[in-house]
Amino acid sequence: MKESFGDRVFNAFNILILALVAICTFFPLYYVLVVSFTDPTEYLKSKFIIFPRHWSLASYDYLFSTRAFLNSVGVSAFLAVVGTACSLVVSSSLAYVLSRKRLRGRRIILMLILITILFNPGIIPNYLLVRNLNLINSLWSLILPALTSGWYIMLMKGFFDSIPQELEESASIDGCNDIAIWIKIILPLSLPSLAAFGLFFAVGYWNQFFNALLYLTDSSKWPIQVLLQNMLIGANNTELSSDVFVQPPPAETLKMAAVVVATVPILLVYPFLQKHFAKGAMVGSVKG
Amino acid sequence: MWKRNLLASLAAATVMGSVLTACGDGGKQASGAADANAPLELSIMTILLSPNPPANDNIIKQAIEKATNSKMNIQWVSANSYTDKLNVTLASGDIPDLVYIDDPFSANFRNMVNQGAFWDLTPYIKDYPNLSSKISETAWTLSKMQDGKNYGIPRPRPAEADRFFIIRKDWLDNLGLKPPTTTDELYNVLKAFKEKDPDKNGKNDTIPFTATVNPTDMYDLQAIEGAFTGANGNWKLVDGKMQFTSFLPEEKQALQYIKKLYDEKLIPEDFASMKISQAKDQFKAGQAGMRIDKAGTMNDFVPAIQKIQPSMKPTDFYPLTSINGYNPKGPGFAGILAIPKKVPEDKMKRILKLVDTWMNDDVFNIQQFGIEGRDYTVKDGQKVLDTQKLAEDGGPDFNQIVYVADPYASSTKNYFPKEANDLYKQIQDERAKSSVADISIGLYSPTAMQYLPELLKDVQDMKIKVILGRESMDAWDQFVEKMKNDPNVVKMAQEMTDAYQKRNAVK
Repeated sequence: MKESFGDRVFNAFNILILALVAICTFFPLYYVLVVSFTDPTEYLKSKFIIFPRHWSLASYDYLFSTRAFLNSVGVSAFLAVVGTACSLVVSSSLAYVLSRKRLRGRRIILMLILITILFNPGIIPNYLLVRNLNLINSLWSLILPALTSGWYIMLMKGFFDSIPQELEESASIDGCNDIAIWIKIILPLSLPSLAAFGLFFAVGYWNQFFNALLYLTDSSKWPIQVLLQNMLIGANNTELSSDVFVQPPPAETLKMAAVVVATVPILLVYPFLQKHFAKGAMVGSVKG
Repeated sequence: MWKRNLLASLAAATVMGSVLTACGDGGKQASGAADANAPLELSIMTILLSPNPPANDNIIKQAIEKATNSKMNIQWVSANSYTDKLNVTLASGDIPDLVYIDDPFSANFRNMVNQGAFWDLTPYIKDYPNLSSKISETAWTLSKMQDGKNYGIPRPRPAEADRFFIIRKDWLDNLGLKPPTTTDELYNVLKAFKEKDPDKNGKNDTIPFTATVNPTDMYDLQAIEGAFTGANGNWKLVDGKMQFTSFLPEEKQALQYIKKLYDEKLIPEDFASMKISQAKDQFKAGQAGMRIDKAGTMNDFVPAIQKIQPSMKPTDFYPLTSINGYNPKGPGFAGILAIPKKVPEDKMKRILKLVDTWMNDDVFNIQQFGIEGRDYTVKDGQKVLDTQKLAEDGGPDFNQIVYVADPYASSTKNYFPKEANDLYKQIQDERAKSSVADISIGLYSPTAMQYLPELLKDVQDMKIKVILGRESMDAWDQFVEKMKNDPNVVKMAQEMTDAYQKRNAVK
């Protein structure tokens, strides 16, 4: 059926609006990227940079030479890798077990998990808990309390529900015990789900800020988001910094370079997990 | 078969691991050393103003520890998260032995003092020579709590030569103008900056006065308000009574003046939403003719401007002496260092001794100059400082714990050229003759604790609307009338007056 003139106008209009929205959304990212590669002196002179005349890696050079920055990148990487691995092991095993109807006390455990989704005790009780576990100033204080989330457990359980019981029965007839079924059969089948939730966990660990601020006292253990906040916002407080000699705050280009380094790893991981991701999160949520 | 054993041992290892982490950090809490000559182990919490925190094995820290016979465990906390972290730390009861309280007048700290959480240091100060002599009387007086006692050591800061107008003298010279001393002269100078191309680049693209504001106060523009009201801050003493400065008739004149500046584009059109860093950048890029700052920040701006306008000299970063006879001075301190009551008395005394020793010239110079040969060299008997290296070594960060205020530190720096230091010192001495302090600091009014923040926000909103032209001057008059008769405002003024008179009586 040939498009009428009205249809064409409507389509054109739609495309125009959406294109504008896309540009507005994309432009800040572009700006941060471009400014981070600009020569610092040129940045001071020009009011607004769409395309810099002098490209320079000066900001990145400086960043990677400061030990504090490299430290914090290392800490964040540790948290993301180890934390995600721990979280996946715990969450997936819990979700799988809860999906098997023959588990005794299943309803009670589900109820308890539901309660944790609904209520959050707040900052001070969490702090007291971490302190009583002697985890203050340990990197494990950022991993262990945040190991899993009731919400993700529910979603993962939904996924495991879709794996038929018959599969397990046939495996156990062949002589597998529970652990073997778990490792050899269930896990390979659930790679989409694992990839999706692995990504959620990884992003969560990489972005951790407030917890790190509260629980870590040693500044050499700061993850990158805390260092970034200190660099970007802390240095703006002129009221205090003009009192006594303090380094002048870092140039805008330096801050942009830090933002790029803090964001790019997650941006890069997304495409690789994209194919698993598209199916994984919601695949268990609709029955049949 | 072996797989099951493997799994069992893995499970056991995980459990053991989590138990061991519990044991691991448990022993770190060092209790007060019994041996009086052993290095004093203490934990300190303070703010961090530099982008990179100093490491624990930092060379300057080690030098200071050696000089003061101590072992310090310093928690650096990023400056603008400090309030959150401090509140959580105070609430948890795990307070470090020496903790920096950024706002000793906050409700939180006042409450904890009332509950006896911190040592009253008033009786002990006289035993320590540096604490009594190197920290000014004003600082000790203004940092007292409402019961008249000192619950912390105020961190001294230079009081004179507080943030005020800094003008491009080279632009004044280019136009044949003298530094202004009244608001009318100031207006004429700004107008000339706008219209007469002072930087001689052929374009009228200068921003005469780059200023920013805060949500609850006029920040940079407070200098103009002060020039009209003659008062520094929110309260002025009029006929023995404290009055809220924004409700004075002179405030209206200030607002009309600022409105004129805004209408004629003598301040940036987006001043109400500009960030502090943007105003600084405008000045650094050589686009602005005037800003509000301390003379001591000269090195933050002039080298950057010289890259673009090489003819600028350090003395062209020129502080004005006073406008309409007004110039502000600071309280003489920034926050206090408090010691929690759970620290035993003899350890508390040792901590006081530590701070006292730290204030000795030879120890304090470690953070001011760094290590010889690395951060500074001696040429012809003068110390030549490599400020970049010192900053990388974290020297200035230790000023957030202990600082000895050089009275000229707001204006001069040891690495400025001599002509600049001489000029700024002379201007500061001139300013000291007429400088005005904020007399409301430290005065306790329960109603103010509750209502002042909201009031400040409403007042600031109204001021900005009037300046931008969204509300008329008549609307401002009506607003002031309404507010002046508000019962909370009246009660606040009364309580502030009482507190002021009480403090003045206890001299």
